[in-house]
Formats: sequence, structure tokens, C-alpha cells
Amino acid sequence: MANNVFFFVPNIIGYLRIGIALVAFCLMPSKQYAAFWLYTVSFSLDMVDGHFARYLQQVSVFGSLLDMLIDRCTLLCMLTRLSLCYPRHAIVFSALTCLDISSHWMYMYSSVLLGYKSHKIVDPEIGPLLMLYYGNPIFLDVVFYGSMTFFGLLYLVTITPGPRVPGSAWGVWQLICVACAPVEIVQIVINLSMLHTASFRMAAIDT
Amino acid sequence: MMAENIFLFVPNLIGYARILLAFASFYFMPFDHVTAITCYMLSSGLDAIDGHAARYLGQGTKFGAMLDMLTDRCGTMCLIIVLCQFYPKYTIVLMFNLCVDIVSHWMHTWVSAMKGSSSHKVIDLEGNPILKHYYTNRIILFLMCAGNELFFGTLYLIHFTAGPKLPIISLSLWTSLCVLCAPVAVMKTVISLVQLYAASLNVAAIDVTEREEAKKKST
Repeated sequence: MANNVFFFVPNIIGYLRIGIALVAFCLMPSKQYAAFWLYTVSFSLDMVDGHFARYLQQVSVFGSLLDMLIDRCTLLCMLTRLSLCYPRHAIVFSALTCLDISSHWMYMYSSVLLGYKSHKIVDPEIGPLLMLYYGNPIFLDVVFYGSMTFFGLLYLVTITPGPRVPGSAWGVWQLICVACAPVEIVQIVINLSMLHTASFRMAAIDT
Repeated sequence: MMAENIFLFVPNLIGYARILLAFASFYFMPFDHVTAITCYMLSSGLDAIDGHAARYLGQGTKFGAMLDMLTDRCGTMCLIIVLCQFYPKYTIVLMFNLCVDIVSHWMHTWVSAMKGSSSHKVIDLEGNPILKHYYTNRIILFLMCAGNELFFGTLYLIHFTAGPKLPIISLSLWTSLCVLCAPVAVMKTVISLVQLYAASLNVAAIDVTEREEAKKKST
């Protein structure tokens, strides 16, 4: 019976995402455009698997864990690649990696301990920012896809600034990258908020 | 407030010191291997102490255990990121190793959290022949973890120096240790993959149970 869950359509999309991301990261040293677009396709498919899960009634705990882990690993590998592209700023990318992994891990773990089926449950004690993040799917999507795009473009601009935007000295990729930067700032604040809430949840559990 | 006290428990204070030492280590990693390794080892050394402090003072907490584990994972992450900079040709292999490490530990902590907070029966990982020795024999567990850390640590050091030459066999210390520990690192990755597979089966089993219960409720 367990095999059925592994073959649910949204989970197969998950395996596809892993495969595409793997190819993307293998190509990053040599075929940068292809690598960038494959990376983009991989995280964009995240929009699709949720819809399939609800439409086909194939929502599963395994699927949501798979989803979360694919997101974390894709970001982890991209930040590692960015450390190679911008060696002088490697420590910033390392710090962002640690923040992303620890905040999500502690938050998810505290949610499981509290008996929540999903860490995306809006619990009245989580504070206004996290309530917005987990309560409003559009806000969450904008922040998540915005920050993934930001890092993808940070990689792409090491190869090319993109076609010149008329009326400015910048390329189109540079412009979009800079436009996405504030979104990443928001994501960082959200991660810190997750760490904060999770720490207090765990302390309360321990008491 | 009781919550404040948890954050000030001795083992957790040691945990914060571990994090600060780890940050110091990462700062020096790209250029000063002596300071970097010293801070890294101090941080790991404190890992042994905070467990004892927790037991001795009765201050073991879930928060502390999570803090400990996250510090370990982040330490490994940052070391591997630096190794990717030193050995860019092996970036994919290193990234794979890192992802397996993170994902297998994550699934494992998730399953044990579910074990604690639900009545679902969880596959006893100690029943699996490969994992049985790993979990029940503390010496093997320690040697595997130490060997794995030593492999990545010496891989890092070799970038700066091959190390002092050993007498008689006239091989360099860090290079020899690195080669010796390489099979341990490979074995640990294989074990992590087995752990990951077992944890996935557990999660899928939970899903099956829940779906069956949901079906019963709707009929």
C-alpha cells in the first residue's frame, strides 16, 4: 500500500523537480543559460504539484515533506553555487543557508510536536508576519518565488547582464534581480521570525 | 517566566557558545586554517560537554537537543561550502553529500517527533540489519561520525598543507588520514540513504493509515 503514496502524481512531479534540478546544477559550470532555465523550471513546478494534489485528492504528508525538502535542497545548492560565483561574499551565502535550513527545520519540528498536520497551519500565537505568510498563499508565493528568482538571477548576471533595457545602462536580468532583492529581505525577516516563534514554542513544550 | 529559564539553562548556554565558535570558524575558514580548525574543534568538543551538563543538572530539553543538532548540521554545511570553493570540480559530489546529510537527518527527526506525539506504529529501524549495528553500538556510531568529520576536516587542511611527514612510512599526516577516512565517509552516506528510505516508508505508512481512516469516516 505504501507504494501508492510514492506514485501519487504530485510526488512524481516532485521526483521530476529533483531530476531537473540535478541536471541544472551539473550544467552550472559550463552551460549557464540552460542551467538557469532548468533551475527556474524546477522551482516553478512547485506551483503545479499542490494543484494536482488537491484536484486528484492525493494530498499526503509524504508529499508535503518531499516538497519542503526539495525547496530547501534546491536553495542550498544554489547558495553553494553563488559562493563559488562570488567568493568574496561566500560568508553571506553560508549564513543565508544556515538561516533557511535552521528556521524551517525548527519551525516544522515545533509544529509536529504541537500536533499540527502541516507547519502551514495558522496558529493564533505565531504573530502577524507569520500569520500573513502562512495565511495568505499569494503573499507566500510572491516571497518564495521572488527570493528563488533573486538567487537564480544573481547567478545569471555573472554571465550576462541581459539585453539592455532602453533608457538605462542596465541589462534586463540585472534590473529584475535588483527588483527582487527587497523580496529576499522580507524572506530573511520571515525566517528570523520563524526561528523566534519556534524557539518559544519549544521552550513552552519543554516547560 | 518559565520560558526564559529554558533559554538560560547551562547546556543551552554552552550551545550558544558552540554557535559563536562555529561562526568564528567559518569566518577564518577561507584563509586561516589554524584558527578555523581550532574553533571548529572547540565547538565540537563543547558538544560532548553540553550532553553531560544536561544529564548532570537535569536540564535536558527538546530545545537544547534541536539547537545541538542544528549547530552540527550548519557546521557541516559551511565546511562543505568552503570545500566546494577549494575543490570546484567536486562540487556536485559535495552538494549531493550535503543534501543526503540534511534530508536523512530531517526525515529522522520528523519520524521520531511523530513517534512521540502520535500512536502510529513506527518501523523499528533497529530491525534493519545494516542500521542495527549503527544504532545499538555506541562505539561504531562514534567512530563513523568521527571518521566522517575527520575526512572532511583533513580534506580542508590538505588545501593548505599536506601535514607533517610520518616516520617510517614517510607519508604526510593529513593526506594519510583523509585517505583512511574516505571509506568511512562513503559508508556513512550509504547508511544515511538507508535511513532516508526507512523514514520514507514510515511516513508513507502514516499517510496510508490516515487515508483509510478518512475513507471510513466518509462512508
